[in-house]
Amino acid sequence: MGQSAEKYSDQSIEMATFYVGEALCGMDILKVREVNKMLEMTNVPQAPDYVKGILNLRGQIVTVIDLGKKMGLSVTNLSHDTRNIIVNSKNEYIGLLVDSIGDVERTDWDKVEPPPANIGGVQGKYFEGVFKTKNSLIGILDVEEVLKEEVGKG
Amino acid sequence: MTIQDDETLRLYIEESEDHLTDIENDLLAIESAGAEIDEELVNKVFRAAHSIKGGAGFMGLNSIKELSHKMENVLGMIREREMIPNPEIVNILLLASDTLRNLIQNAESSNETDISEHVEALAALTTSSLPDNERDDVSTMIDISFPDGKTVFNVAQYDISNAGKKGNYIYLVEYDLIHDVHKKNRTPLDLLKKMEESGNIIDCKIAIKAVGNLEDDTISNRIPFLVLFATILEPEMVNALFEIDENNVFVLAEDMTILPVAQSSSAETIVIDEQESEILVEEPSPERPDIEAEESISAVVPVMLEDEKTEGVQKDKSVTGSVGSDTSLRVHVSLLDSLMTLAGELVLGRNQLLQAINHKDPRGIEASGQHLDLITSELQEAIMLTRMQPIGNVFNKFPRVVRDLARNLGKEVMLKIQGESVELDKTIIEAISDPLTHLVRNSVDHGIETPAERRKAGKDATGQVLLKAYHEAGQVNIEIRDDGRGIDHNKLASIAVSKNLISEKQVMSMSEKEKVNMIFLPGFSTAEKVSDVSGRGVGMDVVKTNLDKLGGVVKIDSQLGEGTTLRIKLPLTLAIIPSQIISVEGERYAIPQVNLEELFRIPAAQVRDRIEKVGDAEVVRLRGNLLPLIRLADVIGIERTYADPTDKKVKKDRRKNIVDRRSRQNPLFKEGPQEDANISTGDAQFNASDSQPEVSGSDSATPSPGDRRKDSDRRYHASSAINIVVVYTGALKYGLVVDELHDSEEIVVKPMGRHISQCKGYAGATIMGDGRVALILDVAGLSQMANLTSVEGTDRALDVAREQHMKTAKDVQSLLIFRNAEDEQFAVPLGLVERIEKIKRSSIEEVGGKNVIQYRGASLPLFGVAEVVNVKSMAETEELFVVIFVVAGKDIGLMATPPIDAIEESLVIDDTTLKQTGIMGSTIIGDHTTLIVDIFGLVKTLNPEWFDEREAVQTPDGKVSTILYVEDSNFFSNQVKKYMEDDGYKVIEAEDGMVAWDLMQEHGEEIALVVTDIEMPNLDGFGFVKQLKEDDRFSSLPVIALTTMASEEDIARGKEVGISDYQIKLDKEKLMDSIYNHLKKVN
Repeated sequence: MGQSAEKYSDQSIEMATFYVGEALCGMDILKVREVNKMLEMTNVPQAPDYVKGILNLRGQIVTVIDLGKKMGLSVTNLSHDTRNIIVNSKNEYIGLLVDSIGDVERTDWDKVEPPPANIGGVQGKYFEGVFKTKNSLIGILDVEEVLKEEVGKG
Repeated sequence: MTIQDDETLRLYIEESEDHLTDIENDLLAIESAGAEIDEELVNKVFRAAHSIKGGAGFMGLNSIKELSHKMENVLGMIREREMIPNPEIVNILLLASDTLRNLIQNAESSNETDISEHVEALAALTTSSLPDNERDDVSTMIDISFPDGKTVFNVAQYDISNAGKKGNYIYLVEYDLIHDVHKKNRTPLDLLKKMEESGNIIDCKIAIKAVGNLEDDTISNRIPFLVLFATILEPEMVNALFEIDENNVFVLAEDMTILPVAQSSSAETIVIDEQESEILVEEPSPERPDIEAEESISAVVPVMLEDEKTEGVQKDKSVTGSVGSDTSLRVHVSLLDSLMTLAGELVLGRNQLLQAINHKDPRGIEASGQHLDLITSELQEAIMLTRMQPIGNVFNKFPRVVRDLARNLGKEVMLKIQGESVELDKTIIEAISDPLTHLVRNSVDHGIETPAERRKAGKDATGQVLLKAYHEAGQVNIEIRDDGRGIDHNKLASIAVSKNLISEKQVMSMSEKEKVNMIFLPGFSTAEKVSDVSGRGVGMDVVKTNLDKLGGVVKIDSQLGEGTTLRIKLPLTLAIIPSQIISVEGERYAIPQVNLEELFRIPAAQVRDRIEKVGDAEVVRLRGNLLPLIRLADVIGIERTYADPTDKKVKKDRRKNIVDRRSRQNPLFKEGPQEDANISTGDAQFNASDSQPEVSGSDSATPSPGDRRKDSDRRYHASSAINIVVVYTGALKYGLVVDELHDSEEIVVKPMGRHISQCKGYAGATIMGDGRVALILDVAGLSQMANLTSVEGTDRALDVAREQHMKTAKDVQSLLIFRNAEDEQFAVPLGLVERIEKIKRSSIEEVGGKNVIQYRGASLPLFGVAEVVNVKSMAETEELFVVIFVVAGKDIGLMATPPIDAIEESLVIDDTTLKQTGIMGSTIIGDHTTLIVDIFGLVKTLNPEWFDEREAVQTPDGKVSTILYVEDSNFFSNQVKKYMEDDGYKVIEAEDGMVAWDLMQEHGEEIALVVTDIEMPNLDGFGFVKQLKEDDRFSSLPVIALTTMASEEDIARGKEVGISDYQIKLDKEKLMDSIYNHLKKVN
């Protein structure tokens, strides 16, 4: 890691970054269980529209959620770069379908800024903060918030 | 004084709970036995209370000790017949045992619990039934002390004198928990248990205080554990039991003095005379301690506590496995062993497989694959077995529930329990407890009437509730039946209407059964409202929901004034369930087999005739019923597609109905003869394809009246045949239209994530063999999604059909249809067929002028119809079917050519026109004249030597036995009569039950046996036999029923009215055997 010269406080975290549509998002890498290319999903008719399907991850049923759709951004189109980020949330495995995956970025919580006012609204609540690297801006996702079931909808 | 040893406490609690599980039912049994005491039983309860007390003393659980002790006293008196158990006494005991259970479950806080109420009640019982001179003893406490005045125990005089009866010695035993117990690898509970086996523990405790006072070196590592023990064993022998230093065993003399056994063994001790129940003072003990207490005070010889070298015989005692209610399970060691063996096999199998893979040996891989398959199934079964528990665990609590409830309501109810040993998965056992309690309570509360009402209704004052479990078709059935007032379906219907659950119009078309089943409709009932009006239905939808979760199905059946029966079907286990795999639009789904009734396929050509529309709903004719159809794709919202037959492209299917066609009159509301015709053709077509849904040939096997479809119908295409899965859930039965039917598989149920668990249509997910996930359909949920609350018409149509059936009362015949020459159709009664095998013509050998094939290691003789009967010779097809019959105890195969099919139909059989040797008669099936083959005739012509002549059984005075034969169909009547006459019996015929009854009046004396059909006009077989059996003159007459297909239900019903045997019509041999045996028995 080239940045090893930099000093990090105890609050440093590593971010797994990925693209949801055009937006570069990140999440704490400790929340990620694995990233895979398993796209052989079983459709679940009647499920909320952001549920892409379910798949078998070594004997466990994983619900795959289209992150773009869930956050009200663009629908994720399956392509060569599409990845499934498996996270553990409330004792179950959930797959987050993203357009592509980026690098792992290391940062300090101190350097994380609150989300800018202009991404407020519906999407605003999904971001814990924003973090700047040399050439990009990473929105840090609040995974639990994103994965909240929408009661009464879908 | 409390020992905070978690492990010991846990063991104690588990053991006590074990004791308590049976106590309740035993007490109830004691109550019902009244004065006729079953000593064994009382003893059992007594010992249970006793063991609990013993342990409690040791654990310092004083409340438990006191309560169990008081119970023990009462039970002791019952045992000694000093008290006769009546409902009041048993009630007090039951309440006490409830409290005891609570105390034990919360053992740690038990000492703070107030138990005075129970204790007083129990004490009052004891006192009131004692002779006067003993009364005081109960309340008088005496101290048992060591000579230095140290009080060891403080017990009631009554207990001591009671324990000393019957020549018992009373010992004070001092164990040392460290040396005598712990170091010898024993547990205190073991000790107590062992002592219980040969005597009674009056009291016990850990004398921590005694440590300092009795010993010189107080720091010595001793924890004295004192037990006051009564046993018949004499002082000389008693130490064999205790296995400790003799100096630590003391015997209590009559005057409450205490002597070391070592010294007293020669001295006269004891004995409390049973008659007088008073302590006789005999020789004073050598050392008399000072007396303190006013009544009688015991003394104790100085104890030689330092002396602890002596050791008894050391025994290895391992802690026995105990039952825990939730967290632990008792498994038989042999089962564990077999699991171990299987695990070993599994490892070997894996090794073989790995080796085969390494060597790239395909045959080896295949072999070890099969091997693994076998082991896996066995392992699965064995592991399932470990989870199996008898349903009795749940059932056993009901006698109490019913008793208490009946008492409160002032009703007399008798609960019968059957099939306690039926085993179910542990989780299911736990989960059905509540719904079952609910249902049983309902039966007692709302079902059974008060004694007065029952007498008025002409019933026995005591109501009956039957709780029954039995296995059927891989499932467990639980039946709750009462003979109470039943459910008023009309009231139920009006409530449903008033709650806007269904419309008035819907009600009109509902059958009684459907109305009763509305009780399960969600939202139907809230406790008070419904129970006030209808007398039933307290939260039944909740019960149903709970059972649904278990994959169970509940059905209700009620006769107003006669009672209600609830039937619950449960899977044996939840984790792995057999399921039918189906697919819709390329996606697979699993339907649990519990919900599955049948599969059937409507050939494309028949779709138009079979599928109707009632209002908005599509329905299909199914044996005279209308079955509502739901298209799975529509319900779960998948776009339907179809492959265009012209350009092979997949296009969106825009058809609104399954059958696109002009509107047609609704058959439900049609009247007159037209309907008859409709229903019967529906039957004929249906059955042809239904009886073997997976026979692929069924399309072609069925003559297709649907071929008359117009050429202009552009959607006519082979692929548009419809696959229907008939499923049921509680009150509902419907057909699910799917694209494809696949295999039936055992699937492992996996839970689904929270985002999709809100979808109603699924019960979970599973992983298929190829690793992909398939959804498990929730049949009840789907019906809700399709707004299929109750099904208009289905049962109604059934009723209509049944009425018509009753009018004509024709027998339904099950026939196997086959061909010999291509254009000649034959039929044989299906009941006679053993098996059907498919063979190649080339495998037939001609040996000794006869055709045979090798079959199951023997030669099976074959014959064709044409060998005997004058018909065209057999078609030269390469593939042949062999229909195997057993005639005269031998297998024989009848060669046949396809198509081969089974039908179930009521037929008019013509037994004159085409009759010849080997042919009974003819009938018309599916536009073809069909000859009905007489297998016995055929075989007799071919192999006359197979048949032994059997003498007809004669009456004692040497005359020919007379048989009354009741049969409405001419055809059968002639056939069966001929069988009987051939064997030399005289036959009197009657065409229905009424005529038969008249004939009985006339020829009653003469008739030795009755053979009767069941389905008959005017008076059916059941009715006739019932009349017969109720008449003293004929009640011992043997009755054989003849049916075309006897269902379990019919047989049970027949047995009830007194039918001795069931035989299948036209199975000559079995019938004649049965007649022979029955007549033999009578003579």
